[in-house]
Amino acid sequence: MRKVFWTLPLLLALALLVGACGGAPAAPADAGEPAAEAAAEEAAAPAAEPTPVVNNFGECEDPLVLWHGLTGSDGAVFAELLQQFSEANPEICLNSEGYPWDIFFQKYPTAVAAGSPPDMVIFHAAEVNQMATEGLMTPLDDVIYNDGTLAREDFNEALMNTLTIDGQTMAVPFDNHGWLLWYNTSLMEAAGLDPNVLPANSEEFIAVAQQLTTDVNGKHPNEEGFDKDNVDVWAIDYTWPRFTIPTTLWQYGGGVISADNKTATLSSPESIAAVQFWHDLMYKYYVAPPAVPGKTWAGDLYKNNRLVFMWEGTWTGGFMRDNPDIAAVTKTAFINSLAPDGNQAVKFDSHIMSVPTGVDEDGIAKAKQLMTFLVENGAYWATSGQVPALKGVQELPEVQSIASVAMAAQQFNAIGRTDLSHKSFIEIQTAWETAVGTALASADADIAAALQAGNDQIQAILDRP
Amino acid sequence: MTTTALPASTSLSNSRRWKTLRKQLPNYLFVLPHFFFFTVFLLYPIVRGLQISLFDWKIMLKEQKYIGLANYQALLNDKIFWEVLGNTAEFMVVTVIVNVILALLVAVGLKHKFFGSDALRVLFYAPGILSVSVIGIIGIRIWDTQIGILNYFVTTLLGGPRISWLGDPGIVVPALALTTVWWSFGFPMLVFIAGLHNIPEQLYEAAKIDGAGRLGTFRHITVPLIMPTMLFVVVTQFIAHMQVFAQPYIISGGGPGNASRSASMYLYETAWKFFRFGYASSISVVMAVVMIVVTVVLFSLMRRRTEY
Repeated sequence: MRKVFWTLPLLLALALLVGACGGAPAAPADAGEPAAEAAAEEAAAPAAEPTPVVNNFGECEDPLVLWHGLTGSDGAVFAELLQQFSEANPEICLNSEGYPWDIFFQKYPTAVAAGSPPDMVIFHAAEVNQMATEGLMTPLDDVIYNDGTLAREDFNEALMNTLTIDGQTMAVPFDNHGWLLWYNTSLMEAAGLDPNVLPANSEEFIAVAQQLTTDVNGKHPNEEGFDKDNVDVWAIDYTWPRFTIPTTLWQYGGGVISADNKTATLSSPESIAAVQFWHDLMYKYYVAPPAVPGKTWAGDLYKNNRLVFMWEGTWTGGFMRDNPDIAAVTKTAFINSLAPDGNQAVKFDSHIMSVPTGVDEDGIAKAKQLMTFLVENGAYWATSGQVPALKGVQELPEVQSIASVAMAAQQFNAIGRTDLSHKSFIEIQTAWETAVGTALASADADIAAALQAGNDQIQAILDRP
Repeated sequence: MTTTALPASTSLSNSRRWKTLRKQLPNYLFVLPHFFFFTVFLLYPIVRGLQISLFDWKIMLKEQKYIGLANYQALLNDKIFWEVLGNTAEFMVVTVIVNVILALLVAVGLKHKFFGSDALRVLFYAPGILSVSVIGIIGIRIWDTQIGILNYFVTTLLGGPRISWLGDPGIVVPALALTTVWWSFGFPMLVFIAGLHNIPEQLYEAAKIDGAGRLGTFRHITVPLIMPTMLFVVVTQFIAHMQVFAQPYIISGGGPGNASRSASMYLYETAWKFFRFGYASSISVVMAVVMIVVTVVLFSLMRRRTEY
């Protein structure tokens, strides 16, 4: 009997082991393997495809090593793009490694400090100031801009300013990505609203949102007996604060820090009003789910026809491809204004390409070749939903034919703003995200006090030498 | 005279020492591998951490800027540090108390064999073999406000309000602590079972003859004699749970606000997100000091109550 019971944990452990093995990522595609072996494998198994995580194209002693964080649905398109580069440049073998962003930012500085950096990295424009100030990036003016390979004016001006630290251009933009309004036309029509007429300010939005939100009994938030604990359809969701909050703050004329990077403005009346509006949407008007940790992802609500307006990233194009039924009733538009005066603004960022400090001449030359290829072939990257960085590529017919990309490109160029640029960017971002998280976590939260605490913390960071 | 006697004595002494050393050499050789790894992977990083905490450490600089105790001074005025240290202490206290009480009671129940007792031991220990990532995902599924299984019972079956388990600053830490108890109380339970078996059975028999009830036996025999085991369990649990990282990181992200951010999470963020390695090192030093002091206090308090 005793033996029987002790076999249980062993069986459980075995089951976990088998489960873990089953969930392992696909083996990396190896373009350099002998043809006969490849053919034999092809007969036995489906053809290997590039994965978003690790890809080796070709074999040599000194490959071009690329580290990035493009491991999601856009990562699959990125892997295909790298394969195209490899086919177009057979003399260069490429080793591409994708990491979750937190792992990436642990490996990147330690690899540079240890003198063994990758030849090229891809991360975000917003983090450039911090990485450059830490001495982790090589200026690219003499590498790619001054010789005319690429021209700064061919990219978004605000973005290029973010990439310029102490007069030196530290990176090449690969794309523009950021918030876009995705909305369910079918739910709007069902509520008796015209999908072509969107709310233009806070007042109009509340009226429309109350008409759209329904509980499981079909009642609206402004009706007697509305069950706020059992909402069936939400008008809007509080999606990733990293994009949602700066967008709303700017619409209200607020922000996190002043333009000269010297004063924290998170507790300004405008910023408080912006956060207060989101709080009202959740706890006063009941048209948005409360912003509590671990809440349901907006995409899950949206694809189940339970969310009408979704503020989400340009990368949602991949999500729509995977969910054709919901894509068929979805339209995109500029992010709607939640400000009383209808002021429009939207945050966008960029995946940027850069060369770490300490890369040798050969590595820089290969990285330059890949950066140029990726920028010039942005039209293919647009199939992932991201907006190509080159303005000229944005206007190509094949890019304009992708409705969400065309809309996002137009939006970023018209009302897009990039994030603050500061050497302690990530610390400031963590501070305001925490403060806003406190402000929106419960119905009785003291918003002004929470934002003041965040403001004090940010000011202390700004005041550091 | 004395000048001739001294060398003889010294020589004899040296010879004895050499013999003793030769005799003990195998012992040192056995200890050497562990000592090597201890020095390289523990002692050196500790000393290095202490050193880095005195600098404004930038990862790419060859000449680091010495700032003395400035990091420690800043830490004293860092509201977030004290807040996260408070969260960590709250988490640790709840987890250790519930873990110890629950583990001891279950151990008493499972000390003697009965039909299914082995199965119950396996069942109670089983969560402990899961990775903390799995625990985190299970935790989210349990505590989630909208789709969590707990709120399903509360709202659908009991007709109660939808509770924001992870969104309420007053509830989130206990929620994380209870998840951790479910995950980790199997180990102290096994240790307590082993400790209970070391208590002489004659004592229970004598107490029974004297007419002692179950509660009295537990209070006057089990509890005093389990104290050495209790000391081990409390100290190891204290040290383990003061370093909590993954549960808040995965389940609540440290939120809402900083309400469930742990000291280890803050340390990690300070080093690897903010790149303030000197400041992060000072956090780790202060945490180590706190843990050493509390451990010493626990030892002194509990040893006094220990009966052998």
